[in-house]
Amino acid sequence: MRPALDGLLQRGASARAGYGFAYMDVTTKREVRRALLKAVCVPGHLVPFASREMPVARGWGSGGLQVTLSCVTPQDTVKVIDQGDDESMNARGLRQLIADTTGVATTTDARRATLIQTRHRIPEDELREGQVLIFQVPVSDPLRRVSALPSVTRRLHAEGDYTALWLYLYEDHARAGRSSFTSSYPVQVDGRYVMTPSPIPRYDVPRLDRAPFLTLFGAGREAAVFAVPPHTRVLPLAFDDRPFEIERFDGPCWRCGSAGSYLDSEFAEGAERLVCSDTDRCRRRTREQIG
Amino acid sequence: MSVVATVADPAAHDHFVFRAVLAALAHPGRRFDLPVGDGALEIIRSLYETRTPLWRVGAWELPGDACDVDIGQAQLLLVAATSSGGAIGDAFRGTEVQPELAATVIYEAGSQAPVTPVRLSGPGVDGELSTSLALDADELACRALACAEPPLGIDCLIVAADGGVVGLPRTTRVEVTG
Amino acid sequence: MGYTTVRASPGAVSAAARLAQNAQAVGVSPEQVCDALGILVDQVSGEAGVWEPAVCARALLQAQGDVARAVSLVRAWAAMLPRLATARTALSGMRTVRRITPAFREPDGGQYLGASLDYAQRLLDLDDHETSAMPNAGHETVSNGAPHPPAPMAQDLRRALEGLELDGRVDPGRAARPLDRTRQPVEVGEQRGAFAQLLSRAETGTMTAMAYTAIRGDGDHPTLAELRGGELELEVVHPRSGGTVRVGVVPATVAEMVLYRRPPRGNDRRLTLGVGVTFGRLERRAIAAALLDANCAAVAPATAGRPAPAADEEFLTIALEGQEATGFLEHLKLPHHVTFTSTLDRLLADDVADDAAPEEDS
Repeated sequence: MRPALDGLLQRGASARAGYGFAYMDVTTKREVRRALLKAVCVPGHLVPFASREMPVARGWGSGGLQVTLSCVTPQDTVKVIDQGDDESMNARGLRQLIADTTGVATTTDARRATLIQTRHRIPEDELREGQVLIFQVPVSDPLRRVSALPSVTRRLHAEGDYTALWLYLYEDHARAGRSSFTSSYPVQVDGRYVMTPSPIPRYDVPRLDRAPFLTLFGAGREAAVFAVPPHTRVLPLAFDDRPFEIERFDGPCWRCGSAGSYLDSEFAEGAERLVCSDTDRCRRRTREQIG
Repeated sequence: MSVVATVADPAAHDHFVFRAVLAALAHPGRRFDLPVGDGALEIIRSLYETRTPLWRVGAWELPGDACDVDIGQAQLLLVAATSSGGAIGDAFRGTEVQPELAATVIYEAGSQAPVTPVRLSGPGVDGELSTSLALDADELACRALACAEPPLGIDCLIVAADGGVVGLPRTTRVEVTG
Repeated sequence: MGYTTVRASPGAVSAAARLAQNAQAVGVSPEQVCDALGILVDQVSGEAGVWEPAVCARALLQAQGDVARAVSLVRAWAAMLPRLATARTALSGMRTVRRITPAFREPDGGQYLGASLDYAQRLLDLDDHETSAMPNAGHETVSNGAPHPPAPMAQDLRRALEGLELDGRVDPGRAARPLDRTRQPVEVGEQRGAFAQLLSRAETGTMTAMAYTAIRGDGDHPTLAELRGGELELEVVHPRSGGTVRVGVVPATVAEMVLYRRPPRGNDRRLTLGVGVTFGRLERRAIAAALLDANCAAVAPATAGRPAPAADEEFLTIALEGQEATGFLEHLKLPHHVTFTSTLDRLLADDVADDAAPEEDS
């Protein structure tokens, strides 16, 4: 092999050696940042960017990762969760990659994190001003239900034409008396753009309304970012006389006793039991009760 | 929120700059520290390319191959004053389908810059915020006109001589008080 | 109701990877992969959009032959390399080792079969060979006359379509400006050059399937005017002298496809031209790309409704990106219990409502 190629493939060199701070090249970072800044200036609007190849596959958090790596400073403390769990395999892998390429401190405690990258949940702890919540987004466009083609949906967004979504809702209520939207419930931001909050449960949606924290959304495969500044109205699409419904559970968490958190189920001690999806907060609450 | 650059991480320097600008636009009207350096030039270096089409008024120490264009073609407008004399009225405000293409304006007026007292509201502002901005009242009126047809508009950053940056995205409603 | 989390006990991820890697070929070098499975390496190269066989072979080994995964590895590696220059190349300068013109019996300069398995019988060879000679290989000119002596690598071959072009019979379509869609977002339909790039890096199976849907229809199908394989010379502008410097060659296959458009299309009685290119020798990549390029170019601007998928550039832009497709398909293996809980909540809400509803008369 030629000398230059030898250098790039040096035996024994770690896969992460030779990369600059936060892995990505500066051109990529600048582009993601410009897109994020404009996203903050036009809340809820999809801003395209040339999504880079990352060491995680498309669909596995490459967008959230590009956003996090463009934002992170050495002074941050980073938390990464998947389904509310820091120890979910993908979350661990992403957290490791971020830590390896930045040296940044990591935590599982949402109260101590300054950047939180998440898939499908908002941490149960009250988040504060100054924290940044970065969502991994699979399907970036709430109008994908209406058309598969961006050329169509971009025009609908530009015209503020969301009648198709309202029609879905109307038909649901007419047929079954309730909305059939599960997760990724469409929300309207600052009274203008309808956006997807990413596949968070309906339970988490109200947390976005006038939140004190900044939310950024990264869709690597679909090559778009969007954002909601703090203190901004985020309202699920719902008729005035048909209130928005969140998920209900048959009991509290069997570990920490919380009746006010989103629950998974697990098979433990011989039975199927309800347990907090937010594993870190559950562990803390359980410890507080024992201690 | 205040960020201070760490000399040991020159590669991370632009990350600190970006976070200050991000915070400024996410919290309009509030001042955030830029890392020690050349103020607005830090922002330009950290966020834009040498080939970014720009328009400038006043003295700006940019690299020789900076791409100066007519104001309507510029992605970046640089104003070394508290006013562009109404020029921002001609800045590109984006399109209905692509509002994100609108220009960004960076003001850097220097330490003696006069300020205009204002009351701000909109996304990023918790209720209302009374503060003052290093922009002339006329310039603010020009800006309001440019941002009168959401989602079109222009997004502004105001860099102070002491190294702070204030953000004014197009969504911020500005009422000149006093 | 809800579903069980799948959590990583410490070391589970690395243990899983080790188990998978135990099956990895031991003692097989990237060079051996290039020698024995060269076209597979070319496929990785083509889909990655990166010419570096040693790296592509290494990626194939690391991925245990999973092409999509190998492409991921190569693209991620290449994305981190510094971009030094943009090279120019010209088809006329190609050192051609293979050139066929199905549209024309005897083009100027002749046809060169080159090294090709096209006409070899597809009989599985069960004998053990140290080396095996490929049938029908060699530089023979295919013609009706006496056999010609083997030609050296030909350059400056005139394109077979040139005559028809000079007669005004070929519509080249929109000019294609080189544009790198990995470096800037591109609007669909705006940039033929960006679409050409997409086609050159498209997932091979998907592109083959889409092109197939386009040609199995009734009536005339596109004609392959020319297929050329060889080495393209790359030139860059010297940063100091400003002169042109040749920096290397890259093996590539180029296909030109023409499409006959039935009248009426106003008075425009021209063939539509499509061009497809791929790194390496996996020819159906270039052929499918040229076909899809021609198909999209032939769509009349005022067409009502959406064109067929194989002529719909926007649809193809979504479908042909193999990394997006495989990544998103495989992401279904990630935990989805939180969203599934939300789904079950809606199902059970229906049950509750049914239970509460008054009984109907039977």
